[in-house]
Amino acid sequence: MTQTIVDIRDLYVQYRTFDGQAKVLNGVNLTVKKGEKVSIVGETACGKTTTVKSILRILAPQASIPRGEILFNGSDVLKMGYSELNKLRSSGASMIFQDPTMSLNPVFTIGEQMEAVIRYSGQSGVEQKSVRHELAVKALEETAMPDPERILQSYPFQLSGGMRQRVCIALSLATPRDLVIADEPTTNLDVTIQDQVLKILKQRVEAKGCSLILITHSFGVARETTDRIYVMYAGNMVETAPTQELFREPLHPYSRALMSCIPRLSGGGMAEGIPGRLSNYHNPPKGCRFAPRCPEAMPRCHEEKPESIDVGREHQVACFLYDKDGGK
Amino acid sequence: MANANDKANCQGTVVKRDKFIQLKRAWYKFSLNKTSVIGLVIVVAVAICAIFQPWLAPYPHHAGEFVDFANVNCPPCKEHWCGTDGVGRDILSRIMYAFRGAFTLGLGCLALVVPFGVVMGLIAGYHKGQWISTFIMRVTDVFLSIPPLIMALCVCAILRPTLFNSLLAVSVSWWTWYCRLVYSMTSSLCNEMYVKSAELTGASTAHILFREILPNCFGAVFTKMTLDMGWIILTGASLGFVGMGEQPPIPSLGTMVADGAKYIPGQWWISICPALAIMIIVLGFNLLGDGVKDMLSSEE
Amino acid sequence: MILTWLKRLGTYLFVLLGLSVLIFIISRVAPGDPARIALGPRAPESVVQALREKMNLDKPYVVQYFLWLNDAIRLDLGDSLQSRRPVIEDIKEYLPATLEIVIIAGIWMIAWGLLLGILAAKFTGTWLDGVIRVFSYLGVVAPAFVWSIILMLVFAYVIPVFPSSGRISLGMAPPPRVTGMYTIDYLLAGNFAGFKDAFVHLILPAIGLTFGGIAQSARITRGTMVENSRKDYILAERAYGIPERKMLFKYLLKPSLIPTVSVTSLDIASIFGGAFLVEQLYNYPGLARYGMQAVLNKDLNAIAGVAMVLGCVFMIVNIIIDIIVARLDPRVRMLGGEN
Repeated sequence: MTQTIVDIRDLYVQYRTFDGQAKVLNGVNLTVKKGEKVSIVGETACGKTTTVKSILRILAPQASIPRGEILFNGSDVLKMGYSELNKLRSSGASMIFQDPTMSLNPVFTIGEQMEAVIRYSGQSGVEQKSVRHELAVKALEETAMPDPERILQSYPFQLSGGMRQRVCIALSLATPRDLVIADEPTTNLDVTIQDQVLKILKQRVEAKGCSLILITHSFGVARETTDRIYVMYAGNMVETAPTQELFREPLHPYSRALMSCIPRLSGGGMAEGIPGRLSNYHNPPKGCRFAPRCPEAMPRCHEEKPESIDVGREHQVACFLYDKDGGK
Repeated sequence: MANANDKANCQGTVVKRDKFIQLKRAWYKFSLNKTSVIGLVIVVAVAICAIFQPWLAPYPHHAGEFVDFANVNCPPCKEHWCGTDGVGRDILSRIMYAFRGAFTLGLGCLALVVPFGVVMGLIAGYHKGQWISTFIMRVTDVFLSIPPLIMALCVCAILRPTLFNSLLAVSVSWWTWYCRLVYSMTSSLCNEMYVKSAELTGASTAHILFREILPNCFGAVFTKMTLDMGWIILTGASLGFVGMGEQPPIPSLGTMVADGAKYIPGQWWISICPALAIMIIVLGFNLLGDGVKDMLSSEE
Repeated sequence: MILTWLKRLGTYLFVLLGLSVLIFIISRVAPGDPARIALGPRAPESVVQALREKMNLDKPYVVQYFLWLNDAIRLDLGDSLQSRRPVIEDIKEYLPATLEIVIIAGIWMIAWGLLLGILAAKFTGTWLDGVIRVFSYLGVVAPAFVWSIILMLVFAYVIPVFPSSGRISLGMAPPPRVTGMYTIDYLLAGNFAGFKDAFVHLILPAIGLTFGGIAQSARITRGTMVENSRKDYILAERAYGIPERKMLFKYLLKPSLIPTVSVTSLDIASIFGGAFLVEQLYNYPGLARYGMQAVLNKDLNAIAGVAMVLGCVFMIVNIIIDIIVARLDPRVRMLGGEN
């Protein structure tokens, strides 16, 4: 039985705004095992970033968590004290952000920042500068950066976008971690660089035996890089399955609609969009949040919230269509 | 089977049928910080005192030539909330009258300084890199190379001390702030797409400057104007303190503080009350300015 | 990079030149005949005419300007109306006194401004933040002279701790002149009692000048730190597990200092400006009071001299601040300009 690294259970997160509370996360469940590579796919603003930020507890001050548990290696992150939380952040999980320009401190060199992260990782020997320097150089080499010494002396503004993102990858993996979270790491990069960066990320994570949570809005990226996909809509995980299984047989109407949006080279015409817009977080619909846009919605869908149903082959769906009693 | 209700939900945020939603949102953002509301209250109160001084002040005639040696140097009491000065005039009434001069100074200075400074800034920012821009910015540097108060004093040295002249003196340095502010905003906005497209469709420079770029600077400029009211009044008081403002018997805040300084520590109220008045006005504008900044900012 | 600095120096010199033109224009625009004013209404016309020629008042303005500039560069700023001796002598005597105040005020202001700003940023939302915010409002809204009056009232009269006028007490002899700054000169002469006396006289005027600057620095530091603390890189550094204390004092502070330092030059300007009023109040014989008297007496040579000297001092202050900003922000240092 492989060890579970992250287990998010029934997580609810809301943000305080002008128009009231925005109930963004509506009972999210997510599990990542050791060494597993998982991706979260969904439209913009469906709560993907909020979910992963909750794991490290770096949500904005307006956010509050009325319900839920996040178990990291068995302990509940939401109940951790400061020093435990710090340990989690320095040696448990790390995060790669979407915009590499903003995620590096502009007034310190790359070297200074990497050595700072290494310094507080709790590893042995990191009090000495030479040890830290070596580790930093090694981390950069592993991400195929040319001339690591020069990079360490440079400032972020002197590097290109792709290089900065590779630095961020190196930063995340410079010291041993159980989990790496990558929040749309390639969205802001040139298409030609995207591939390269993803390859490096996948390779490094596998080499170190870490788990990976990759957030993306592209199924293509998810398919290439990860073993298991979580499909997310409006604050709920609507479906999850191993990658091959999901592509073979998407069950949730939303997943199916998303798949049909992907233009295929083989057969089929242009993709159709999905009618309607993302639901209103301030006044979310009662029941299933996808029901207003769902082509197969039943009366029950507007009243009750569907729980996750196991359909075998490690495949789960949150949809009444597959509910043995009371479904279709 | 989607019905009308679902459709409405599909449209995303339900549009409130409220024409005043913009104003309400602005007020919400403004009043998020309670201190901004306090600032607004202070400014409005002071303005009311200034405008309606003849009717609100307990002894309006004390603001002019008046002596009453029987009541000289009374400490603050029921009849005179701020006491009386060396010749028996009620200090509170004089302070309220002085508000007029203060507001006139502030508004007048802004009226001179803002149009000129903003236009200079627009030109300099738009033509960044060309000699006219460099020239304008160097000129602002020259005016800022000595502290503004000192520049104002120099100007006052050559003119007779009146309200208008102190207004001119303060304006000499003040326009440069607006020029710089608008310059930096314009030079970064120059690269925005809508400016480029306006240029490509042959819009005149005047159109680009005033219809495309200026509206985007409005927020920062307006915030600064609100804050500046307080600072200009302060600078005016400083000039008055050394005798460069309105002359007696017209009361002006700075002059009153200076006159009262002789009586410290004995009759402290003659100096301290106008000083407090200055502080309250500036505080009010400061708080108001912060609120205006919040209101005009577009952060969520 | 040296080129950038040279260019910058060139700009500053150009600005000084521009200032000299401005001052010159102001001094010549003044109504009244400087020669007549200098000699008084009863002097005979011939004497006044002779003075006019001596002061070059009969030549065209442009020529006058260059003659004046020529003299100014050689530190000959003419004679002062009030003291009847060369302006440069007056400046040499009074400038160090004002510098003493400004330096003490500057150090006090920077130290407290930063400290309060950092505290307010760290404890945002708590009572400490509220108190510091209120204080910074108060500090900013009251002009220097008001604070000085209050300080004088409290510390010189109510609780007589500090003296309220002069540079040294009556009966103390001034130290042998090395720099002109009494505190330093006393120290150099080994006279500690004298040092203490001079220092104590400095405190009230200097502190009164600092409230505005402290408040301003604290506010900006706090604002910038709070704004930066929402930026992604701080989030990332926190996510990587860098301890809060280190974050605050190093990784958050360094990028946040930049706007504060830039504003410091303005605060120092306001200290100088405030000094004009405060020195009057405290009867402190500094350059500012001299300049103030010059303004009141329409002593044009003195005004021009003081203005130019202040311009130079200010230029030096700005250069120092530019150097500090370049040290803090590598983008400025390497790209040679504002980002």
